[in-house]
Amino acid sequence: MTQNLITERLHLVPPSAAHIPAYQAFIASNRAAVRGWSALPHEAWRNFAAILGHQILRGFGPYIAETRDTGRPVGIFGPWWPEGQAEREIKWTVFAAQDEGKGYASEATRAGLAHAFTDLGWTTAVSYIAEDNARSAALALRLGAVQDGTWSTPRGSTVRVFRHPAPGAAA
Amino acid sequence: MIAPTLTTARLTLRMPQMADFPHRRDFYASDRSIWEDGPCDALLAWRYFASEVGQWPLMGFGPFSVDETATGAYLGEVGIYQPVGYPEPELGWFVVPAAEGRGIAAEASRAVMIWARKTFGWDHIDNYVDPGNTRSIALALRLGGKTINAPGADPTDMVIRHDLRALA
Repeated sequence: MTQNLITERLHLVPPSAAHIPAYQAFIASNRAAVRGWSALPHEAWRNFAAILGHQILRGFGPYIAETRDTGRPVGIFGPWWPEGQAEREIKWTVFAAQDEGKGYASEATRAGLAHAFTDLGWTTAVSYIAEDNARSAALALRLGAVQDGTWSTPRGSTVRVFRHPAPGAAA
Repeated sequence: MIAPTLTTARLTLRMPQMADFPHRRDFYASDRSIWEDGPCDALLAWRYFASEVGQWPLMGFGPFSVDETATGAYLGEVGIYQPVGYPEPELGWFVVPAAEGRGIAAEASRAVMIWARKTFGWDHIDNYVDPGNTRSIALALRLGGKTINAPGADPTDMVIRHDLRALA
């Protein structure tokens, strides 16, 4: 059973129907378009449903971070392992530009990492980051991850692998 | 909300699980999937599968995996689907090659229609079928469905309606 995670400023809760409008708005924005994601509304709904299906099929899944003061959805964070992806991943996605630069992504991702290593018993975790996504690469490094080569996806693209330190590992 | 377990004379219908995915992957890798937006690679097959499974918490209905009760063998999937863009909930089915021609999809579909009637009180449920999918059209008609003039998931879909009022 997925338990909510609480950080200083955020609640991390399982995705639900209430989050669909925020997710659809993100998918329709150029923040998603620059990553090559489809902007079709019906695709957004199906992708969101697939996030819930991931939780059911894998027994774990990413969270939606909501601000503790207003409940506004900030983005998607946490464990992610779709079939065909080489390793278990910690992913992060901030929905809106207004929530960049506030430290929300690092705050939520630290909680997601702790959840994966402690509650889920993961022994290692990576984040896959596109070559041109300097912002996410900087966050990975700030979280203590180190680049560990690249992964050639089944679709033929190559992404950087950032490996997160397991708790208790020597720095 | 996840799928309840339904039983018929030969079949057990249950919530899908990860171990079912290789069957869906193989289906989507083959030409048998041409009427279901396939063929496609494993990544997209996974997204389709996870997206359908994720309809359970969002909609309160979704796919049932179908096992042969006597052997536990996975035979296919029958379910109710309504992603955004579908005008109404749709009854759909898929069986593995070894299960074809044995009335498996028909038997499972009857159980799902009875469940839908009992659970939601719907008067009818429709199939959206590509006009070229003669096998599914024949099954839908054999189940008592009637072709109607109504919108489907795609503009070219045939819509075959099942009257549920006599059930349960």
